[in-house]
Amino acid sequence: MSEKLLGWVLLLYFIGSLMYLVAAVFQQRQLNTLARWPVLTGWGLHTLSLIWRWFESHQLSIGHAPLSNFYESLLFFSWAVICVAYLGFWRQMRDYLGSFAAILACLILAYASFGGHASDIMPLMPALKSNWLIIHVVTCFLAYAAFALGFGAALLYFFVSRPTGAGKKRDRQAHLAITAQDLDDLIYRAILIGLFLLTLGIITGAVWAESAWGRYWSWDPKETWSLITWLVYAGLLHARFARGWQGRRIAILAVVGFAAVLFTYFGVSFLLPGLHAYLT
Amino acid sequence: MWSSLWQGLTSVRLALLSLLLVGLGSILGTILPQQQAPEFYQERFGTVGTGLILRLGLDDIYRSPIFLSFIALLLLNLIACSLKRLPEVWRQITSHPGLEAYKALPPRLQLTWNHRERSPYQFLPEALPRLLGRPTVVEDRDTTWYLIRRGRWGRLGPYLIHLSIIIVIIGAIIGNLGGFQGQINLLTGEVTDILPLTNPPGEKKLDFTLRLDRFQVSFYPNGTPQEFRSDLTFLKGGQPVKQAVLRVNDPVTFGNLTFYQSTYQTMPKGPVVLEVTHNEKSITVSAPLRQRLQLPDDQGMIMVWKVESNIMGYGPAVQLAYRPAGGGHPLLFWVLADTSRGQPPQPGPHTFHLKELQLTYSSGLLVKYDPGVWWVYLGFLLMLPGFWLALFVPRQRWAIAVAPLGKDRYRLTVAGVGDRHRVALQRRLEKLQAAFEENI
Repeated sequence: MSEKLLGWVLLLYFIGSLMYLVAAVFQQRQLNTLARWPVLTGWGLHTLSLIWRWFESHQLSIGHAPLSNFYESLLFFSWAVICVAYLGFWRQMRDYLGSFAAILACLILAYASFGGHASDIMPLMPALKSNWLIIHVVTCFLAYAAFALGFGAALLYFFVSRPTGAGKKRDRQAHLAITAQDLDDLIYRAILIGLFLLTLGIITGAVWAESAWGRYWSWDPKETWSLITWLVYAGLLHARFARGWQGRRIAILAVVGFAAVLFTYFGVSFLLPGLHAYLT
Repeated sequence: MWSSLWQGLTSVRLALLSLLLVGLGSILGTILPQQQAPEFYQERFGTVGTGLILRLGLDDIYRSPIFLSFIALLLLNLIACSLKRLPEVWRQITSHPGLEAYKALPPRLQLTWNHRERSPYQFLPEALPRLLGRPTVVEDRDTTWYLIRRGRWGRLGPYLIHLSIIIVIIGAIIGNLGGFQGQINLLTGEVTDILPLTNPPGEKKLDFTLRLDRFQVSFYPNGTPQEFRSDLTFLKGGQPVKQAVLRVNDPVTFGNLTFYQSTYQTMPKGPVVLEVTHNEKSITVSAPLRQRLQLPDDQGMIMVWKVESNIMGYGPAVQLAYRPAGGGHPLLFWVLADTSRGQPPQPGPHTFHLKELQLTYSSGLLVKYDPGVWWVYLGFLLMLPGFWLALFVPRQRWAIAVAPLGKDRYRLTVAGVGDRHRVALQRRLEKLQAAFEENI
């Protein structure tokens, strides 16, 4: 049931993304307002399907939040991208950036559905049975989502600020309806939100690990890589505040930071063994 | 010399460098398999590489002097930066900057006030606390200045974060130097007052006795464990002083020790009784777990290696290590208790049949003393308001100058700066403009 719903969600995100893209390419500004509808409807259904999955797991009498394996984490990641995009960046969710958020959510869902991951609701091992599971996973994935948006803005930044003649550049900025300065601001804000949430995620993970395993930090690869991600973004903020970095260099760091996020999420799960290996 | 050292210690460059070094060390620790035997590295990296790895401590990098020195560098830099910059920031937060500082703010909005009933001198002190914040009013010749600082405590945020990180690192150091960790395995009814330590290695005599009254494990239909718990009693001088139920994710503290339910093991209750058949002659032997047992007439040797309550859905089983007469390597195989679906092949010449197998569990408890953990938690607690102040409290300074132009006419100039949050400043300005236009 919840899987059938997700098919519709995927389609709605795709339609929304296309509408944003048309709005951007053909400069149909009013289409931006319209494009919100399929995305937000999709997100509503997405929310419903997550709740439904939760409900289903209770019917199987192994009730737990749908956040316990790789497949479920992808479903939630996709949900989180739209959530952070619209809650945190309502005004900026238009044109290419709106299209980026919607297509990213759509691709993650597609990967979840067609990537051959086990989608069965499985019982939880005893160590995972904790209220910390929900808060830990939710904060981490909201952080990933915020970093993903920062990454999208950084890509757009490279596109907007390509070195050409000054007049042409201004034309392009007008055409894209977003300036390099706005994007710089957006990257920065996305990373602030992301870093705050990631800090929360790491702290809740540490407190949980202390109560489950008696160690708040054990240099497990997932932990270590989340710390590396944290260090990259902390470095970015210091470079910006204290050394005045802006624009291109910050955008590059935002891309590097997101690469660390991807490795924390996928690389560690597939390449490195550890406590979080049950994800696969 | 000292001043340049101080300069270096407090520089942002060093901060970025130490972040980079800790990051690179961490990456290496996840790529290079840790805490392996020297042969493992020898196989992959050769003599030279292995020598380098072992000498630098890269096989246990997170405890190696190199990595710890990176963290020490970070710690030093954090402390130095805080000492250097905090007094100045504190002064800026607590003291009001002079009018001149406000005069230099970039103007954002200018409008003419010509409301007949209401002068801006009435309107601004009423409306500003709601729109921007409580103003300080300064008269300067014919101009009246309304000065407002917003979110000044936000400047403390980064220092609170730095302080919290310092506290976390210090907590980790305290825990590592002053704490210990051990593992106790207990059978139901068993009593102990010795704690075998894993870190640092050794043994500790407890000033109380621990008894496992009961151990329970429940399984999901697919056979994976659902929950396990130990009912514990703590005794002093033979008298029970505390009873507790220990579950996974739900530790128990006694004195300064914390107990965690970490694992369990299936064990035979008493010796395993086997029927051994050789040359159509059967005998019955009792084999305690992990003890060598000589078969009669020097015919070979067996040892019960492992027991399972349910092996792949075939029910209880015993894993035997068996060495027939004549030596060679011991052979490992399973003997099922329930033979209704057959028995897995056995190497022979002896054949084994389980006559009696009673199972029990041994509960694995992790025991820990960590005097630093509360420091770590304190650091975590401080970090959250620190982040809040640093990231989400926009710092803004506003100056609204009112100068009379003629009868009932005034010129209003709004100037302001906000660090970092351009959007927040813009929004505030729009709100202000709307409020003014309503009242002009």
